[in-house]
Amino acid sequence: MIRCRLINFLFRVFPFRAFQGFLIKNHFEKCPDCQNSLVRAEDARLFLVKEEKAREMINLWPGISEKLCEGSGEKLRTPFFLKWRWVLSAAGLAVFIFTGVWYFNRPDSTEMAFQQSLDQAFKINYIKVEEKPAGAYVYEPQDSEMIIVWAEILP
Amino acid sequence: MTDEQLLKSCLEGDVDKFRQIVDKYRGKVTGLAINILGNREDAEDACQEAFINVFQNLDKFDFDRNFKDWLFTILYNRCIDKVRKRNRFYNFYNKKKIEYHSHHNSNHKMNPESMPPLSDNLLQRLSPKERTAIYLWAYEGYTSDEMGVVLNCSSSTARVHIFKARKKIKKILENGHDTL
Repeated sequence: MIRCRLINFLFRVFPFRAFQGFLIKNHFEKCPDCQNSLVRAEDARLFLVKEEKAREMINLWPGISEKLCEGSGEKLRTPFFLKWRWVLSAAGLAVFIFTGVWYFNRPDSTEMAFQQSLDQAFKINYIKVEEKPAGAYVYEPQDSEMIIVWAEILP
Repeated sequence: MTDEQLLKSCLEGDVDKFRQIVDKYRGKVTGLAINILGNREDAEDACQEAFINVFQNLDKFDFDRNFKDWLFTILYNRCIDKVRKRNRFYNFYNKKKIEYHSHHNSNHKMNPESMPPLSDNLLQRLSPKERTAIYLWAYEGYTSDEMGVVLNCSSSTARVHIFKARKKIKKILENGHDTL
């Protein structure tokens, strides 16, 4: 009991929350004598408005829906990016794929330069075989600077 | 449906799911508000404002947190705002009343009607923080750590609020209503 009185005295004399919290945790919550000076949960509930009674007293939804609908229309609306997130995601993915395909299939710069030089250097206007017009097939193997020309007498 | 599923549906603009949330927590929320504010009208306003606040800030809600704690935190702040406004009003009103009577050299004392409408409920003798603490402890079984989240204070401070509230109520029970 003397200990309890001393701790009660310290509790009153030093009004520091941390210190008081320490005393409560380490003494008041454990000491049966001090627990007798505190109300129990079931007795405390007698002083409180019960949840069931409060539920009966107030119907919240009509007021909430009214307030949500009146002045704050833009607040009620879902943000644009959330509403259209699937569309935006799909569009983003499509752009990504298109960019990837274009990037990996674009002609190489050296290849393009070679193609340009070929266009300038190699040109066939007309082919004759044994003084007769012939069909010509031009074949350019990839990764090679070789050009094969196949000529064939037309039937 | 779990709270998380309901809230995610609300985020997609489903107001009916929000109604389910309101119905689910209506009792707890109004219970807490009435016990803090002591009257139905203010409690109704505070609860509606709290739910609207929740709806408007759902995109900021951290789904790792407990929704009920978050809701109680918002409601507690709304209730404290109401208590402060009410106190400011009564302070102003009483000051003006005293000025009026002293100006007219009247010995007329303030009648009970000019005072804030105190309920017979003994909870009126506790501070709003103590009322919140005792409600969360007695009805919701909150620990001091959980209470600290709602009251926006340390668990030590929350522990002190519960302790003081329990002690005051016990004294009232033992000695009658006029002890405090």
